[in-house]
Amino acid sequence: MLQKTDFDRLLAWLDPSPEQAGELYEKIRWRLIAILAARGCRIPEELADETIDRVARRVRDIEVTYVGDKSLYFLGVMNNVHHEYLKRPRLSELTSPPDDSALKEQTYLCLDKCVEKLAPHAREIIEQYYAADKRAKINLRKRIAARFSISNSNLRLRALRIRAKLQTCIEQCLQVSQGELR
Amino acid sequence: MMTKSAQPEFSDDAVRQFLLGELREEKRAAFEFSLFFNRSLEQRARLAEVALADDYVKGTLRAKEREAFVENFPVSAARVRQIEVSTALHERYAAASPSVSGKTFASFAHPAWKWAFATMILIMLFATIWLATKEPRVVKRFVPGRIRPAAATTPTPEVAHHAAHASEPGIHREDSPAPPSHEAATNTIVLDSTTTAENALIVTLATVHDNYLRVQLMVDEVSQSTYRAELVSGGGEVLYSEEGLSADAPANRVSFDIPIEHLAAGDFQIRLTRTSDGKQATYFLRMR
Repeated sequence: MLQKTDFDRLLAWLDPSPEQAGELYEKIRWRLIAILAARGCRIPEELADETIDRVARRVRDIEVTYVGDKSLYFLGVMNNVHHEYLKRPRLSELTSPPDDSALKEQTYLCLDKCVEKLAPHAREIIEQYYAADKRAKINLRKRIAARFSISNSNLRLRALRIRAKLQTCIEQCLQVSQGELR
Repeated sequence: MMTKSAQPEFSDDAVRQFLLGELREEKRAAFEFSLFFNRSLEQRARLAEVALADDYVKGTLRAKEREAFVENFPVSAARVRQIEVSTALHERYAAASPSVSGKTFASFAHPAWKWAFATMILIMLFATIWLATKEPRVVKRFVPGRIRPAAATTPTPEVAHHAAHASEPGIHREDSPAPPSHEAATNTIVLDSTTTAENALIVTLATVHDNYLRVQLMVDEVSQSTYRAELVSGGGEVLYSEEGLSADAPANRVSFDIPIEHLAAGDFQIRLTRTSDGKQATYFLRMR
């Protein structure tokens, strides 16, 4: 079990600024999960967290002497963790998520809240981007792209970026609402 | 060992393949390394992750991608939530659009449906061509009479209304468009007994310039026997007959000359009877 002191030390090692450290921590975690998933691992979050825990426990020993990109250290540890995982006997690792209709409902509420928080033009882009069927969408995209004086490919990129922000917002919203429920 | 400065470029397809667990191992190692140092690649991969969830929900993933997606993508809670958010977005804003649940195969935007429709159209096209080529008689049933060639008669004893082989159905063959009936002189026509009354050859009376119309009746086999031919009106009345006719051996035809005065506008039958065994064949003719 990871101690809070180890975790704080990890963040401090990553960056003196807690905000920057938190951001870097999230990025590293996302990369680890993406890599493990790409390797066919069925429990990438579990292994990513295990990797981070191991690094956190070792920071006390390495923080003074370690030279180089700190992210790379995570990659090395992750390789070990993954190697051990591959040696484990295969158990049923995939569990279907429960059909949580309350959570689904909450997701919709959070979606509406997060869309409301978007800037008007971003909201318009996201609403219209998802608004119509494929053929109509192409025309809509042309119209929106013309309206914002951007190319179609830039429009897609912009919509995806807004969508990624929405994802973060919705996840935060869900965490808050779940905390309120507890 | 790869260095930060020697990072390879990865296409958008490679990014998607990586996220779907489909990138080849040797390329994947380089990708993994780049993901830690190439900020732009990480950004692209994050957006591609969102795009994949969207495409899955919209049902626009190719079959192979979809299979890989289902197998390898929803392995983290964050990704499962991405799919949920994509679904929510789609259901919220695409409510007016038909069939968009990414989890159903019944989306007509799915590539499999597109292929199925394309294949179906091709099959129908080839079947139509084959039918028109091999079975023009069938096709003729669907072609309104008013657009059929008016006169299939020819000034020479050209086979215009019979099968090449006696066992084949009678076919109205035209190698070139028939001239307007009032212009083409008609002295000889060829009839086949397999042609039905509905498909009877139409002859314009005004085009018969001689005192008689020579009808060549196709027979299955040439016999030494003589034949009796009768011109029968639509009402069943025998209008004219001729006996002692013989078959022309190489052409398998019996020639029957009908005096013009026995012909008028209307439907006619010609009954051909083989004298030796009484075997009969009926030929249809329409005059106008």
